[in-house]
Amino acid sequence: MNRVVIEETFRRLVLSPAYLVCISLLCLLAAMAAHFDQSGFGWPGAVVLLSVALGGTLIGPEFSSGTLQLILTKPVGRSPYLLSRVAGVVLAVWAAVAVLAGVEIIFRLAMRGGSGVAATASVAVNLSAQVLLVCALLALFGSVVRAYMNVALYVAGMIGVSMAPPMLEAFAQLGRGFFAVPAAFVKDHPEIVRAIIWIDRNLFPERPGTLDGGWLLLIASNAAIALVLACLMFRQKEVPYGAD
Amino acid sequence: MSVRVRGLRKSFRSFRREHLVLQGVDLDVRRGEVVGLIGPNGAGKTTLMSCLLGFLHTEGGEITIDGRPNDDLDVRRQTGFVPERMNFDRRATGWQFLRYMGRLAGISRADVGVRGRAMMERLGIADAADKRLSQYSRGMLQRVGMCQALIHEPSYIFLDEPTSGLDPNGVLQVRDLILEQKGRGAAVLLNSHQLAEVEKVCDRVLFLKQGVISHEETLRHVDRIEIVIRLLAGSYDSETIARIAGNAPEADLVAVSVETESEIAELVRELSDSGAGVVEVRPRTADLEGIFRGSR
Repeated sequence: MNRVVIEETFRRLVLSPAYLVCISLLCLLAAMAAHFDQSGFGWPGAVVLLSVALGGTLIGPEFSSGTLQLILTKPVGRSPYLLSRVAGVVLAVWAAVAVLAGVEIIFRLAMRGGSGVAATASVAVNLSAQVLLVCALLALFGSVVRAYMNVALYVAGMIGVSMAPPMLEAFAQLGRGFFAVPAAFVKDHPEIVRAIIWIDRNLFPERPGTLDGGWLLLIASNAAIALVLACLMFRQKEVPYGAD
Repeated sequence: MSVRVRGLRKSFRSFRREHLVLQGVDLDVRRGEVVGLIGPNGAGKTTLMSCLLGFLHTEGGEITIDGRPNDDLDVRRQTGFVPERMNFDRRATGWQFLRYMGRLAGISRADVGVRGRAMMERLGIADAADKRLSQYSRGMLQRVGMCQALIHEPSYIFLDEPTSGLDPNGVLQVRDLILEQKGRGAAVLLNSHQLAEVEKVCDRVLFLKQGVISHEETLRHVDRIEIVIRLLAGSYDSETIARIAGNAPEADLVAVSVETESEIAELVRELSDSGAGVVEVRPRTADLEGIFRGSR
């Protein structure tokens, strides 16, 4: 990885007015979350959205704007560059997680005698792992498509794989008419639905309420696979001149 | 030898159609040499530049820079590139951009400070260092692009229309910079449509047409000076001039090749002593415009 790229990515993100405003508002949410029995109420979802917004800037937009041309003439390999960019974005979101969890913990210590502090810490750890996976997937999609299509792919994939299993199960019940044959096919092949559920659990997993070593390992390994694929795709990618 | 290209081929595919853009390009750019690349739109100049810089994968042929592949990191450490249009995060200031590019090029934080400020000063954008790139004019972007390309004193420089959008003063500054790079031994490949600029800075010009180098013209020789002397009509005897200069005059013009500037002075003195009126002495340059018209 390249330290200059990580530093620059991190610096540019955390010093941007949008990031600072966003974190300030989320700090209020985290302070309010300390009033609830359930730790990490509200703000972790917002952090996932933040990671999608920041991760969306990985590769695809740089490719389209022509910035990559300048970078690729510098002595930094494509894979180290991509990994460093991901690291910079992940660190920026992790910084947000640390600040927000810190705010909730401080308020819990001050107002609730420390109740729920451990659970808040668990939420922060799980959320950090989820952020890593989100950014890895956005880097993977960004290495394949242009501009902000990586965000579109991510959102479409998330919605698609979560909605597909119940829709396919309902579809399989169609016994007559035009769709009878494909419905029977889906019914006879339950592995299709199982495969989609498997994809959903691996790419867009639900965050557990407590620390779960198995879940963390799953997220870390999936993020690693996504990053390896992203590097392979990015190395093969042609970067033609000029913007789209 | 510095930049060496042999049999370079590149095509683009869209659906079932294949468009062969480069059809076996051969070129060399030696250290201390400025080579111009000119040709009509669609000739493949940008594609060639993209292949040289490793943006595009080639389909055949070989690109080596000092014997190493063009994507070698050591080669990139010594490569400078100015794109025709500078694109970067427009929220960054000119100085932030230059600092990032300099540090990516492997220059220490302290050196980036010194060299970057000096380059910006040199190109007249020091006052705009803290302005965002979004506030830069096209010419200013071109200048900061030049700064990032040269801040690490590269040995191989690729310039794509570096004077586009520049005012006359900027054009002169860029011309001086290119000649300076040549003077310190860098190999420079200049892609430009400005034939007058090409003529002023390039040692050789390559004409790219339909994906091949169709013509090569040497504008300046390393070991000799080509001049043209215009004589006053009726003031000379052709045989005498041929004996002194080695060439008989044609339409009052004598083309001469000498090795040193003192030889020029000596020659002019001898011609004057013979009674010939010397009206003008100028460097002999190729008629790029004529060649370009012919190559279209």
